[in-house]
Amino acid sequence: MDYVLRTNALTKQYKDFKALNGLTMNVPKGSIYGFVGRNGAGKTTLIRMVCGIQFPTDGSFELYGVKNSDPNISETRRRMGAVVETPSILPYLSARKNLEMQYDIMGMPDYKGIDELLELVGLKNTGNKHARDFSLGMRQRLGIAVALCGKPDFLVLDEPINGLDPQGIIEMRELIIKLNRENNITILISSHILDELAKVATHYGFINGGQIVREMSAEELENECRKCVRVKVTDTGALARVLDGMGTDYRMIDKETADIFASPNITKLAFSLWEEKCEILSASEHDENLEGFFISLVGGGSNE
Amino acid sequence: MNKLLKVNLKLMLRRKDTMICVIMSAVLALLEVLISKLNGSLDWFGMFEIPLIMMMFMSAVGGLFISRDYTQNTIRNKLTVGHKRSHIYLANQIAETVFFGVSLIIFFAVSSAANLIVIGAKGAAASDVLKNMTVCFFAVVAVSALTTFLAMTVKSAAGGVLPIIIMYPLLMFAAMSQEFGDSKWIQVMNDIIPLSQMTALAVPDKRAAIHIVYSLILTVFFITAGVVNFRKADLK
Repeated sequence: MDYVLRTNALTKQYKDFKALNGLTMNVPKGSIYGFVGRNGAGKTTLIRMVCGIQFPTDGSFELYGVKNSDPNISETRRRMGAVVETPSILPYLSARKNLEMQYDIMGMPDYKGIDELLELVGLKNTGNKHARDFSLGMRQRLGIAVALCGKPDFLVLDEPINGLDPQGIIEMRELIIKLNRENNITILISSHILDELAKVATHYGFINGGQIVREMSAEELENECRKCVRVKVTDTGALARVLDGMGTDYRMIDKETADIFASPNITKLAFSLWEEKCEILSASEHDENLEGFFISLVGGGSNE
Repeated sequence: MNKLLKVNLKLMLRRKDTMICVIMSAVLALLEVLISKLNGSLDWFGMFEIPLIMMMFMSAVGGLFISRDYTQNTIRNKLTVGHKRSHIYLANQIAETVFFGVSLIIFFAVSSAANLIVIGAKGAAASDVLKNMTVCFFAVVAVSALTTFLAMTVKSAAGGVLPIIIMYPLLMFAAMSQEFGDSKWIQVMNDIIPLSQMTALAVPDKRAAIHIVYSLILTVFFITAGVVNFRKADLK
């Protein structure tokens, strides 16, 4: 698999506080990578490092195979765009003028493509209205348009839906999917609004305490979260034999617990287990979403 | 770096505060001639009192211009697309120098034209006036380097306030040093500090070469220190 971004034991220490503690993650090419973690988990710190805003204390990362210590990393960053926390825009300029400035910063030969960008983010009809008079959603979309100026193939969005109204959230979601599917842009999104993330992400990285606790594809997550009956038995060996015999899909959780997918005939299962001298201690329906999975992964304690 | 410089200069032209500063330079030049004429004290060296006042508001406006890159987070747009930090710093420095330098040149041009019209070429040797202008120019460049250094170091809106705060004790020192007598170290400090140099320009400058050298040293020092510091700094 090709990776756009790979980090290797990335560490960032601020005096007595370790914001990143040996973080290792891999963002596959073409993915929408949902970067999930609590406030203060280290999401923004990682993004700042990738963007060159901050430097790692230890460890390294590779952007398109170019190491952060390589002098060519600056050149490689031209292939990426980013909106870090708040959109970086000039409030006293119109949307078009903001994009013109970014085109100038990038040294683009002309302003062709600005109309297309404004159209893409839905800001074509804002005329001479200054960015300071925009709604939060419009400012976010302008920030994304600025990040898209150099036609990047890697886009980093830090909390892009924070503070947006429901309509703004839908528009942002559609824009992200469009950029990924139609423009083949790999997108790294950090967010703690998990329901929304679950609607767009193809891969996930769960971060806690400055470390990646789990990396998985949306498919793997779906498998882990799919509806099942969780049974606790006295003999999981017997349970496995019975389930294999019934041709039912299942997953062993521990020595006495297993998840049985689909809807098993409980009476038939209980009868077959009784024949194997295995007792069912408990059975409950189990249905986990991304939120539940995240909480079970990192624990439900304080986020301070 | 040319791209960043172009953007900086474009933004300066768009900002009302920077443009007002440039226009104020011409207005102050005319006011100085007019007021001096009314007081009966008009001479060619009177114009050198004004750049001190100009430095107060120009360093504030210049500092704010740079600090806006941090308060509006637009510095990220430059870093994320791969501009080197040293280029970002130097583009800011050059834009500041152009802003300070152009304002001063406009001031000198208007003031000289007004003086020529009102008192003619009498009363001062052209070489003395040009020498003072040169000293003043290099002192202003040093102040622009200090302003850039402060704004790029504090990385907040304080970048517009700090230069003014620092100007006051420096001006105080320049003024009070007249009272301290002929102490050697006060003489050296007055030679080094750009604002002190400027207060001494009301008469032909006898230590012009030394003043210019000190201004150049200060300029190089602030730019070098600023670039080294900025290259290692974590931003938000």
